[in-house]
Amino acid sequence: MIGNAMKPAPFIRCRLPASAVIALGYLLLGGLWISFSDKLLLIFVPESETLSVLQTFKGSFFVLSTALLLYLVLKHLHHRNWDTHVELAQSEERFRLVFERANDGIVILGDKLDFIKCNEACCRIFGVDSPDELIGKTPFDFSPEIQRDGRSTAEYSKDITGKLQGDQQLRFEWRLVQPSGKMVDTEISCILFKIGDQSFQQAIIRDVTDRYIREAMRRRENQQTRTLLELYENSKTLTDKELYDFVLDHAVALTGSEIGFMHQVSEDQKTIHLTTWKGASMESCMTAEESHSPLADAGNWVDCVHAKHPVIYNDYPNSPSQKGLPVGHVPLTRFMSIPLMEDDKVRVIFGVGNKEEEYDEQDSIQLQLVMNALHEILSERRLNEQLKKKQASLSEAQRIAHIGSWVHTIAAGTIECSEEVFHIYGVDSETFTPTLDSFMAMVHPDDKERVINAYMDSLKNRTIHEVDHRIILQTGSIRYVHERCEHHYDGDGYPVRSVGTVQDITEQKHAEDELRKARKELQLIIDNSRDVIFQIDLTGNYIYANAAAEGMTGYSVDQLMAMNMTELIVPEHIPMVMERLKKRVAGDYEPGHYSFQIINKNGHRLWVELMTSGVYDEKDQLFAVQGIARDVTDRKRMEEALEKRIVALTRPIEDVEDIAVEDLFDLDELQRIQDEFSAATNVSIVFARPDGTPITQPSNVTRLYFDIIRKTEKGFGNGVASDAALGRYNPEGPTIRPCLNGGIWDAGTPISVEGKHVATCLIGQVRNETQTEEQMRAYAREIGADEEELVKAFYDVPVMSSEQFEKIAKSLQTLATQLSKSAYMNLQQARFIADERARTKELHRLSTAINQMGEMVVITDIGGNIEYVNPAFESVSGYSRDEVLGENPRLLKSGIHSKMFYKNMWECISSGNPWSGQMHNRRKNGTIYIEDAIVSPVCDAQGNIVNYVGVKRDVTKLIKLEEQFQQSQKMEAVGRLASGVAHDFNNILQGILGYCSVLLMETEGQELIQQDVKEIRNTARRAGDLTRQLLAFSRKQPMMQTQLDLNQIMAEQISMLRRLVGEKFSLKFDPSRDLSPIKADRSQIEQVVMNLVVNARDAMPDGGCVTIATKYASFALNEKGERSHAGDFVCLSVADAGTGMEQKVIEHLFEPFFTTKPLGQGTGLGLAVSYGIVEQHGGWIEVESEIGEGSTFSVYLPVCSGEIVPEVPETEVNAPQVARGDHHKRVMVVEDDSQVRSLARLILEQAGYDVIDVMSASLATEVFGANGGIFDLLLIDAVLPDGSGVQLADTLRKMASSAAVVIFSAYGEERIRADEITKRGYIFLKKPFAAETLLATAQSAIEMIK
Amino acid sequence: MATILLIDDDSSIRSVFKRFLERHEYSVSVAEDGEAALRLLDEVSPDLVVTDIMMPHKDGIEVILELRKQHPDLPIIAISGGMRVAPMDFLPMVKKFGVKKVFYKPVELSDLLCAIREELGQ
Repeated sequence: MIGNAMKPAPFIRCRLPASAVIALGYLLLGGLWISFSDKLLLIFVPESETLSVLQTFKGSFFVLSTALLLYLVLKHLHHRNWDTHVELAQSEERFRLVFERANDGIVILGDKLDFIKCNEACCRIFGVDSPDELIGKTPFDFSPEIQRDGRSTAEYSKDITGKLQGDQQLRFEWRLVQPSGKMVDTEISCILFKIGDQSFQQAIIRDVTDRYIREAMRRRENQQTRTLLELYENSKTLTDKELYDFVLDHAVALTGSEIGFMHQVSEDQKTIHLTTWKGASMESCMTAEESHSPLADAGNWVDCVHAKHPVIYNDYPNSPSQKGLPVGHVPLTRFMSIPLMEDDKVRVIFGVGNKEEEYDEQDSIQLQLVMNALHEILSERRLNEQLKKKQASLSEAQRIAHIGSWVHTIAAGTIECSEEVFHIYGVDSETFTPTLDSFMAMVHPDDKERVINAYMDSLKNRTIHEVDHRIILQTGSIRYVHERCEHHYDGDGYPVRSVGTVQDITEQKHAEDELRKARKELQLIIDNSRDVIFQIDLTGNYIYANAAAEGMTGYSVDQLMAMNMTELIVPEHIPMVMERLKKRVAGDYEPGHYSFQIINKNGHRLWVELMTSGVYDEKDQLFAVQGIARDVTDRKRMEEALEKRIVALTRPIEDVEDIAVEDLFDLDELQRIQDEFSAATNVSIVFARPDGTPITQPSNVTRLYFDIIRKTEKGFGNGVASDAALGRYNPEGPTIRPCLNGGIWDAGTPISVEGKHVATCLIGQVRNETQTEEQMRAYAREIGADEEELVKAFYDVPVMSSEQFEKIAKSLQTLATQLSKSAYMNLQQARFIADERARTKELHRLSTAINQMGEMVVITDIGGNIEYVNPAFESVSGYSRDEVLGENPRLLKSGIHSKMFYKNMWECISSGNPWSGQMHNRRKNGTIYIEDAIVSPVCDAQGNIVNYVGVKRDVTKLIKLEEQFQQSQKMEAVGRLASGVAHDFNNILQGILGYCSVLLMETEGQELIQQDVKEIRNTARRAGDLTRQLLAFSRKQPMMQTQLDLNQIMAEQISMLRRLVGEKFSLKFDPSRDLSPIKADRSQIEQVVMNLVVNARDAMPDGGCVTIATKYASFALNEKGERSHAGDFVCLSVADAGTGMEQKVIEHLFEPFFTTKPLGQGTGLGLAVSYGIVEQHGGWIEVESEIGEGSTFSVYLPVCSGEIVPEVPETEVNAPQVARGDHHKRVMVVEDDSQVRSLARLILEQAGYDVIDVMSASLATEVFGANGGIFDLLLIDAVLPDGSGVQLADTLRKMASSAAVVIFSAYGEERIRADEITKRGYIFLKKPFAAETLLATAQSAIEMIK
Repeated sequence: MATILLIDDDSSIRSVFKRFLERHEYSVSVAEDGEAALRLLDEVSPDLVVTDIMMPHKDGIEVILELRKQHPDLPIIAISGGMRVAPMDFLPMVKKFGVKKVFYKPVELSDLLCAIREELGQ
């Protein structure tokens, strides 16, 4: 109807009006009619010419007028028709344009809703290139499964289809999906119309996707505004967490997400904590369990923490750096995470996920807005919190500091004050009215005026008011307060108010008083201290010194303050003192005092003992050193003197002459005694050596003697001679006589030690009435002195009666005797000290020796209480010295020995005899050790036992080693025995087995007999197995060592082992990844593993898990006991969780025939064989077992050192694959018969020898030389192509003599004489030889040489 | 009927092997050591040799080497009961001389039979 049929007809486009045509036609027809009818009339009525003309005229007029009329009518009609046509055409044109170019899709659908016609817009909406692609299809072909409102398309379309048939017109929404997958939301209006019987649907389809988006956006904006409003509203009532939840909930809603989650991020930004997890709605919200996890481990939803802005992953399964979801997690299709920042740190991560559409920037902007709002709220909240906290802490601070604050409004006279003010004034803030007067009333009367004046002054002077005063509380007690305030003034300069604080300083006052008192006391102590107390700065300058410093140094304190410490110290001690000071400053100072010498102002050297300590400032920085110094000069001097005396007096004294008076006496002391004696008696005194030379400075000497007489040569000689004579020993008493020098009276008395005259004490130079001036003058002339001077001096000599002088001389003798005694005591003391020192030194030497010796030493008193133990004891027993001192050695009792054992020991030693024996003792940690002990009594001089000394040696290891040795010997013996019988045994068993087979054949059908024979056969087989294992145990089976990967072997064997252990057991294999290859015989190692696994299985009667593990192990020398080897090993362990084994069982574990299994179930050879195999491989087996816990067997095998060829298939025949260890003997075979040569070579190589074979004597010599002659054995054929075997042997032996020689020869070779061979020490071997004979001969030849 | 030369120094083994193999329709010649075996060799010209290893006078290895020299393709089966003095195993060694089947004593006769049949291609 529409289509081509709608195209306008061509006539409509004709220029000539139709009305004119019709009218003209009519005119033409009418004209013709008239002409013809008139002509006819003329024919029939000829006389009617005139009528005819008239008729013609009438007719013409009529036709003309009717034609005109017709034309007019037609023209009118035509006009109307024309317009309609044009309109129609235009309308059609418009319609076509509308149809083609409409923005909405317009389609005509058939009765099956199939596309019949559609426009361009349709193509756009349906996402196809041309309408042809749509024709024939239905809109349902372009529909997703689910409609926008969530209804299924199938259901919805049924509904729509139903309605379409009923209603004329229908309008509905429909979601389409384009072939590209893009969803398009449409609005469709359908109109049903019919053409003929056929009904059609015209549908207008409008793409409303954008509109929906806009609407959604608007909705979202509204929602966002609402959210923000609600957020602000709720911000006052909700907690942080609740706010977060609120925001999360709204974030989920805002973005149209299905899920939401929230993680709090820790302060250090290193861990996150999942706090909330939401499903689609609040109902399914739940709080996650404690789930702190490191940020680094979290999935990519924490990417926003690093990015610090929203992160969107719209394709989560393919998103980068995702770490998977936890078990049970909702599947995540896409998500967006947004960080909430505070102070440039991420506090919280909000996440939303599984939105139907992709997350876009809009989502992120929206959530960011919410986050900003949340951030603002939180910031404000933090500020408020801080403010509150500050206020709280301020009032807390006031309370703690006892400071109250107040404001005094001067005009009103009111005072506002903080709670603390009331507290300080001891009043109740409820009842007390704070005014200036009410406060002033409480001020102490004595302080009141001062306080008021100070306040007024400060008001007037505009200064800060500050005053300390007392207040009297209502309780009557006094409190000290410190007031301080500032004043505020108005524009006219009048004070308006004062703002101030009041502080309770009572405690401070008391403390200050206390401190002042303490400081005073301290100062008093320092001032009165006899020790010098001083401080120096870090460079040694004095900064403080007490009064005692003046006494010691002679300098005033002020002078000292300008000095450095070094100025006082003697130069030789300065480095030592400065070194100490430096250390003190550096902080690594050794405590204690030290001594050095100083020189005081008077130039005297003083010994000072100093102790220092650091002085630190409030920042704990050292700023000075404080010292306490004591004058120890006297002590030092005494010490030195004593030391000197000891050294001097304890020299071997053959001749007492050697004893010097200086060594016997303190000369200063002697001088003092002398001076005092002289002052008391007014006589001149001097101590002199036996020969008369003075020891001391003479006191009270006369000018006569010293200045005049002694100045002359003769006078001096007389004096000395006289003194010497006076000093002679005189049992009668002191010698009193006139001096040779002019007869002045002198007296002398000797001081002797051990009968030896060591000094003389001389007094004298008094005159009595007997001397005359003349005598003096004569003497002056005699010695050649000035006569007048001498006489003048003579009169200065004190006069004393003879009796008086005698009395003085007597007392002098008493003094001298006393001095002699004292000298003797000094001597004795010195000797004693020297002896003591020697003894101490000896003791020290001995105790050092005991301390350092490896043997344990225990000393007890006679009651057995320990008085001493040495370090060796401590290390072996595990007890420290302090723990055992005073204890009895029975604390070490192991419980192994009987009471009798200890009783015997005690009986032996208490009877005075030493006891020796082996003893088991228990260490502190409970383990037993064995010691070889000798316990001896120690007797004093009277023969009484005073101590017992035990010297013990820990022999645990030694005994273990011995046991191990015995064990291995035993096993070797068993091995030898086994291999010895195996051959015969096997032959016997072969016979039995063989006959069984024959019997079985011959008794076919005789069931009973057959059964018995089979039993015999089984028994024989068992015997065969046993023999084979015995042979294996004898560990001389040749090994086919190859390079093996233990893990690989285990992996291959594991399924077999699983079958072996059975279903009741599980077998776990735990291989270590980096395992070095080992060199081993594969089948033997498999046998070992099998044995261990079978044992593990049998240890768990109720089933369990057997764990096989491999690992790498490396040992330093002796780390694993004596049997182990240092180096790198591979450890294979087989562990069971079985019954475990007792120590006794473990001890015998590897012995052949030792079994714990029931009779007939175990041969007792499995572990023995394993042991042999592993040992042969250079490894060892370790056993760990706990009763009830299970056992672990660890097999250690050395890693391959690289010289072993890799595993090759057995069939390959090439060079013998035998390991050539260093321990293998080297053999040279010299034989021209190649068959014999290679046989010998093969046999020897199989036995582990390193063999070189050559075919001639010359070659042998060459090879021998090239190898440096290092051969253990030479096997030489007696007859060689280029010489005799014996000669060759001789030559080679000359080159290197260490090799054993075997000469072999066939019988019948007449030239060879066996005795010639044996004579040279060679061994003769008959050819042909059995393999075994060859080996036996080779072995014994080598052993012979050894 | 295939002929087997059986070499063993143990008489009971000789006799039981012989009886057993004869029951399985082999013609069996026996020798008590290597020397005897080599003497018999031409006389019996065996299709297969079963030999013990350790024997007095001439042991199994010598026999095998000699046999290899004379009859390189003659199938040999070696059975060893171990050594008396030196606990050594020669069976891996004889494999190098082309002895394909080796057994340790005591051997199950059925196993031996299988091996013989296999070697003779039966």
